[in-house]
Amino acid sequence: MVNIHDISNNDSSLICKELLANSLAPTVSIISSHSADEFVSSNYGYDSFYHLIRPFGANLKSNFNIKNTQLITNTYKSFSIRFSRSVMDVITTQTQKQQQYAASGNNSLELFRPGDLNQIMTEYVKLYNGEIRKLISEVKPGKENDDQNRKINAKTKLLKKSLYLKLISKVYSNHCLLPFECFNHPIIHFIVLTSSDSVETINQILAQNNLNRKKHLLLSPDLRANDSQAIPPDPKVEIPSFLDLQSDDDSLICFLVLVDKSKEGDEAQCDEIKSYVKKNFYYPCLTLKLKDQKDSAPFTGMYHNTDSCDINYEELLQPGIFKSISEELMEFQYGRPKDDKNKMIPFSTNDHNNIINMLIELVKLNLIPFMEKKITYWDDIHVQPRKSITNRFFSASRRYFSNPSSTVNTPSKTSFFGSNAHKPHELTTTVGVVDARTGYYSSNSSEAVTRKLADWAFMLRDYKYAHSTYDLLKKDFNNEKSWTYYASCQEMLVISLLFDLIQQETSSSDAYYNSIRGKLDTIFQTIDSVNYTFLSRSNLKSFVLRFQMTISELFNCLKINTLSEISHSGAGSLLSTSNNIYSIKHLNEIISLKLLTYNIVDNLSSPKKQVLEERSYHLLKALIMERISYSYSVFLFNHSKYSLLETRNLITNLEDVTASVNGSRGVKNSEKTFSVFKKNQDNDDPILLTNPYKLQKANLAVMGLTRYRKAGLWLLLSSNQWEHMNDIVQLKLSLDKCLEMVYGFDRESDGAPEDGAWLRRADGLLGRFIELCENKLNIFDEKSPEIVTSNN
Amino acid sequence: MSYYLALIGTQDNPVYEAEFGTFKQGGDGSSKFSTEMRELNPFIIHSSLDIVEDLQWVKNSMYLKVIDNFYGYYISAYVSPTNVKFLLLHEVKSEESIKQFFFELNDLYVKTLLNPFYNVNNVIKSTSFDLKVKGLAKKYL
Repeated sequence: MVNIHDISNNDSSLICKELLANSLAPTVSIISSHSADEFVSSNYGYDSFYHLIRPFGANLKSNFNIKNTQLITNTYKSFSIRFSRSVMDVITTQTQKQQQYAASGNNSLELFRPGDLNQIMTEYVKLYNGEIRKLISEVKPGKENDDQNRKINAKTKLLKKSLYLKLISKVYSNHCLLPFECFNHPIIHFIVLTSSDSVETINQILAQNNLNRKKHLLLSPDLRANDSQAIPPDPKVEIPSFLDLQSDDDSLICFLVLVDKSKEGDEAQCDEIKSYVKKNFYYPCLTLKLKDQKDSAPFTGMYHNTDSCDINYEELLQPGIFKSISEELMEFQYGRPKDDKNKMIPFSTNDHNNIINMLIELVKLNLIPFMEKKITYWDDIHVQPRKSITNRFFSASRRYFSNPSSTVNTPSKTSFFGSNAHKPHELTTTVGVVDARTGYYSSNSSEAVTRKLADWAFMLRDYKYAHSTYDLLKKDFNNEKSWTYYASCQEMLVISLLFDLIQQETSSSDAYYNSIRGKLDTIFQTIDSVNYTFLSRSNLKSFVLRFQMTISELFNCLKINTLSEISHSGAGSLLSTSNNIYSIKHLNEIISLKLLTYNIVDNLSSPKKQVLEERSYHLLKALIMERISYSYSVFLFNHSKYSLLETRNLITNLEDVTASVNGSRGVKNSEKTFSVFKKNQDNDDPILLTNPYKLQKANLAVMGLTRYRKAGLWLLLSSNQWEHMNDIVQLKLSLDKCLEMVYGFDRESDGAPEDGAWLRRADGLLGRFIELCENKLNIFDEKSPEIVTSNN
Repeated sequence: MSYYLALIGTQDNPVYEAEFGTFKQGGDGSSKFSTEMRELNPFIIHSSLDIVEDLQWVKNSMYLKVIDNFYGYYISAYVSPTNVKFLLLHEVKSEESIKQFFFELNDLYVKTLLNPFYNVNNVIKSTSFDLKVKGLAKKYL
C-alpha cells in the first residue's frame, strides 16, 4: 500500500541553484612562486598551490556583511569564491582549445564541445555501473527488509540520482575568459610566496604576469634595474583587450606568505617579506601557517581525494565545480599514477582550519570591501548619469551627432558608427571603445565597465540592482548589434530576476505569486530572445544548453508549475493542459533544439570535401529525460495548493531510507515521501461503504495535482535510450524506479482486473524491458562484469 | 492518419482498446503507427490520465477537447458520468467530429452497461461493440 518515491522536495534543484551561484562567484587567480609549489608538493603531494587550494573556495562559513548600493548591510552565512590559474596560463591553454574548436567546425568561444560532455558522462556512467554491479552482487536474496540490503538499495539510488547533478556540475565548471561576461575575470590576483623567496622573485613574478603596476614606486635604482632584467612576460601570450591587468581599477593584487610551522625562524623571515610588500607596494599581505601539527588529528574531510576516478559517496550530492571537463577527461584517460596517490598526505585539522580562516579573512577584509568600493564608484560614473533626466533628453542627440574622436575616453555612449562593432577589418571605424580587430569592447569602455558592475553586483547578491543594470545595458548592445554581448546580458537579466524572486519566497504567498505573475511575460520573451540570439546569430550551442538547464532548475526552485495555477480564475487552467510546465518546457527545448547533437567534420575519409555528420547522444538525452521525469514527480510539491494540503495534514511524511547513507556526513537528509493512495477516512459514510458497487477513489485529496504517470512515461522513454546504448545496469535502475513509482502498482480492487496489467503485457515495451533485464542481469551475476560491460 | 482509442475504467484499468486508421482521403481503415509509437501508445494515454484528473473538476462539459499532446500527437478526452474516461490519440485536430464520435461512443457504452451480466470496470469483450465502434470511426474520423 505504501508507495515510496525518492522525491526530496526540490532538494536537488536547490543544489543545482547553489552550484550555479558558486559557478558565478568571484574568481581569485593563483600565482604561486616556484618555491611555494615545491613546498606544497613535497609536503602535501599536490602539483601546485592552486591544486591544493581550489576545493576550499566553495561555501565558506562565517558572517559576511555586504553593503548593497542602497547602503543597506545584509549579513550572509556563507560565501563562495573560485580559484583559477594565473591569467597568462589560462590564456595560453584557452588559445589552444579555441584553435581545436575552430578546427572541428565549432565556434571557438564555446564553453565545451558536446562531444566532450558526452565522453565525460560516459566515463562516469561506466564508473558508477561498476560500483552498482558490485553493490548488487552483495545483495542477500530473499531478505527485502535486511538492513544491509536497504543500505545497498539506497546507495544505488543515490548513484543514479547524482548522475544529473554531475552533468550539471560539468556544464557549470569552466574557466574560460570570455569577452562578454566577467565572472571568470579574476578580481584578486593572489601571489603566493614562501620565506625563501627573495625580492627579485617578487618583481619577476609581477613582471611575468603583466602585473607590475607600480614601477615608479620601486624604491632604489638597483631594484629598478632588477626589474628591467627580469624575464618579461611571454610575448606569445597576448593579453586580450577586454582584460586590463595593468590598472588597480579592475583587480586587486594580494600577497600570501606560506609559513612552515615545523621550521624554526621561518615566521620571522616571513614577516620580513610581509613588511617589504606592504611598504613598497601597498598591497595587502596575508599569511598562512601550514604544517601546524601541534596536537592535531588528521583531518577527515572530503578534500584529500580529489581524483575523479574514485567514487566518493559524500561528494555525490555536492559535486565540485572546480575541475574543467578537459581536466577530468585527462584524468580518466591517463589515470593518476599509483605512487602519486600514495604521496598525498592528509591535512591536519589545524592546517585545514588555517586555510579556511585565511580565505575568510581574504574575503572579508579584501575582496568584499574592494568590490563594494568599485561598485559604488562605477555606479556614480556610469549608471547614475544615464538615469538622470537631463541625460534622457540629450542621449539621442549625443548618439547621432557626436564626433567619434571625442568618445575615445569619455564614458558616454558609443558613436553612431558603433554599429560596425562586429565587423572585423574595418579599422577606420575604431572609436576607441571597440577593438576593431577582434570585435570586443575594450576593458575601459563604458559598456564593459557597466557589464562588470552588474556582474559584481550579482556576485555580491544584490540581484535587484544587477537586474536593473543588465536592463540598462541590454539596450546599448541591441542598438549596436553586438549580438553575443546582447544575448549574454539577457541571459544574466533572466537569471538575476529569478534569483531575486527566489530570495523573496519567504514573504507571504499571495504577494509572492503576484510579483511573479507580473514578471513572467518579460521572462519568457527574454528567454526566447536569448535562445535565438545565441543560436542563430552567434552559433553558441553550449551557452543555450547551460541556460536552458539553469532556467529549468530555477523554476523548480521558484516552486511554480504554470501561470494558470497561480492565477485566480479557473479558466486559465486550459494552459496547463499541454506540456507547459515551465521547468519541463525548457528541458524539452534542449531535446527539440537539438542541442545535444553536434557536427563532426570528418577530414580523414574525404580530404577535399568536409563531411558534416550529425551525431546525437543517447546518454545525455537519457539524463535529460530522467530530469524531465523528476520535474514531473515534484509537480505536486511545486503546486500552489501544496501548502494547503500540508496544513490539513493530508500528506504523510516519512523518513526515507536514503537518510542512512547521508547520515555518514552527519546531515540528515529528510526526504519527503508520500503515499499517493492514502485513504481519506474521515468523511466516508460507513453505510455507503458497504455497497460493493460504490466506486471508490482513494486519493481524492491530491487527485489531479500529481503528475506521477507523466513522470513514469518519461522514465520509460529514458529507459529506451539506455536500451539503445545497451546499458543494462542503468536500464534496470530506471525501470525499477518507474515500476516502483507507477506501473508496478496494483490497486486492491475487487473484481476489477489488475490495472497495471495492460501496460505490462509481455509483448509491450515494459514487458520487453523487464525480460531483457532478467536475462542480462543473470549473466552479469555469474560472470565478471567485463564480459557484459556496457559498450557505448 | 491513425487513431488509438482506450476506454479507461475507474481504477485506471483499460476496459476497451482499439487501434484504427481513417477511411477518408483514400485510407483503408488500418492504422499506420510506427512500431516504436505503437509500443508507446498505451503509456502516452496512461500518462494523460493525470491531466484528465486535473481538468475534470474545472470543466463543465463531459467532453474535455484536446487535453494533451506528445510530439505531434494529440489526446482528446471524454469523461462519462461514472468516471470512465474515453481517450483518443490522434494526429490532426478536429474538435467537432471527435465530439460526435465520443457522444455516440457514450451511447454504446451506456447500452453495454445496461447488460445485467456486465459490471463497471469489466473488460468489454463483445464483438458487436467492437464492430460498432469501428463503424463510428468510419463515420466520423
